[in-house]
Amino acid sequence: MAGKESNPGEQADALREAMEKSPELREAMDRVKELEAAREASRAPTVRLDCVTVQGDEMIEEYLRGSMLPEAQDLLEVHILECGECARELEVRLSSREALRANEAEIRSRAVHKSSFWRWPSLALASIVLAAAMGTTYAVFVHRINTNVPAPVAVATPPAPVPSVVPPKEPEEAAPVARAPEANRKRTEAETKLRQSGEATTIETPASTTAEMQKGETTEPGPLPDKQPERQANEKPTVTASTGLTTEQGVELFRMGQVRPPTYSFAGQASGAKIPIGAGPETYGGNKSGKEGGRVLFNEAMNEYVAGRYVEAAEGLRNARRLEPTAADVHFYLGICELMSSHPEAAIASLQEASTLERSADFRNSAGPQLKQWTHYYLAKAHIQTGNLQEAEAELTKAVAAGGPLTSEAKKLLSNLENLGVNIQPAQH
Amino acid sequence: MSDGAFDTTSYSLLVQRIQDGDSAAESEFVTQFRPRVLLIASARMRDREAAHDLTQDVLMAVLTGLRRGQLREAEKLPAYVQGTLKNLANNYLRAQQRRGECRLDVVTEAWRNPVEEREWEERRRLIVEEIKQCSDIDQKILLYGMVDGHSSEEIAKKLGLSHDAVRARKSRVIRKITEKFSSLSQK
Repeated sequence: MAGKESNPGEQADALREAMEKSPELREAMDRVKELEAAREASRAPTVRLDCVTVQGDEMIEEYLRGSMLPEAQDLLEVHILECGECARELEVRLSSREALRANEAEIRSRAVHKSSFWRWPSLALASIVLAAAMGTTYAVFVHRINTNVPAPVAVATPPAPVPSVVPPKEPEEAAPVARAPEANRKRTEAETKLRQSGEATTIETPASTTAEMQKGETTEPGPLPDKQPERQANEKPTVTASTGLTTEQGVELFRMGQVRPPTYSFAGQASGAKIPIGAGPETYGGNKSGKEGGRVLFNEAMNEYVAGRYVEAAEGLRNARRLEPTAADVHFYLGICELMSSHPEAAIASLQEASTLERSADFRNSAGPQLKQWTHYYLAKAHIQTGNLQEAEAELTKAVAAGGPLTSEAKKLLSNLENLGVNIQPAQH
Repeated sequence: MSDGAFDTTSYSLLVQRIQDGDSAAESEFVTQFRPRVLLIASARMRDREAAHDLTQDVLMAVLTGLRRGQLREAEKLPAYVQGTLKNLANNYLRAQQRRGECRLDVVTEAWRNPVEEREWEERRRLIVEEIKQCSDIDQKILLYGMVDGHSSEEIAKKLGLSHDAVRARKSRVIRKITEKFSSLSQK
């Protein structure tokens, strides 16, 4: 051992191996710790950070996120040990993070409810009342200007600003996939005529429902009444004032956005799980201890997931994500947990992260094509929940193309989405 | 938290006194370094209980090393402490994964400083109050940044704000909390 005194690193490794074989070598392990610390101190860089750099470049936040390079992290920690002011900055942020975690559910629910798709039912109810009040005046108006057409239902845009209405479904014999673009084309023609006649009015609606609304665009006026000969006089869809959807469409969309979480089995950790939980640390490279720690956190979080405690599981997965930022399964299940906790926006971010790992070695190791399809499928669900139907359609198309056990489910959802009659622009690929 | 300013001369003296067996110097070392080691341990471990355990281990390991004359360049004392902390934190995570052991809370409680714990609770309560007074959008920015780990750019995209607006809002809230925090520390 004396011969190795000059090389603390090798000596430490040898002692650690011995320690693993015999727990009685506790004293040897203490020696290892001392030698490792001495080695680290002897390697300590001469570069020093200053307070302006630490506090001005979001270094502390990067540090807390765990996204710093190890060398930079060492420099920052040394600086924190030396500088009281920067230590206080770190303490404030650390304490704030803990305080935020303690109140996370409350803050999220408050924030999410402001922009969530799930407020639709209450808005729809309010809209029903409004639409009923306007119905009589509206029908009389339309009947007056279309004397040769049976009294239409709420599909046209009167001079006064009223809610726009989506066009009715195309006849059933048309092919489902081709129907939506064709409907859009007809509708556009009708709208052009309407604009030329000077009768159309553009109405602004909340940017929370369809893809076009997400972009902040105004809704297009409804089609001309005489372009709706197929509609029966007694078919009176209720129109929501705030979303431009009928109640039936809103309910259907709500139903389509419902999520059944994928099952997870610990039984197949090595190879047989429905979704493999990730490759072993040896395949990852990089910071081995971080990956190992990440796997521990991941497994703990998945215990919560299996038990249906998605908020707790999400918390654990967020911790695992910091140690394994490139593990696709961590991002994927975090996305699912966010979805199950009614946080579709956060779910989109996590699932998109999983999706971007598609080309990485981690994605192939930890998931394979099955997780690829699942990621796109649940991304579509999340987009439906946020009302971004264009993105939902694009993700479903990708899910179908990826192939796997959810192909028929994805096709069905895609077809339902197109049949819904909501004006979805064709997805750009 | 102590604002004690360290310099290389004081490090040299401190290390020398510890090597000479001065127990007062060891107490001084612990008083100066303990809060900051605990802070870094909390950031690394994301678990205050584990951070307390780790802090004790680090301080003990550093003191043992200093007594044995392991540190040859006294001015590198902070780097030595940091290196010890990093190694022990990694060992702790590895050991936790291997053994899946549970903590002995009864034992660890004995290491606690009740005054320090009380102050920590008070600071946390104050921060919670301060955060609750923030607007919803500010709370969202903090939550996305500090808990979810999103960068300012990502938060800006998520909330439909400009990057500068997110940074400005975040730094304003942090500044407010820091001011409150400082006033509490001075009491």
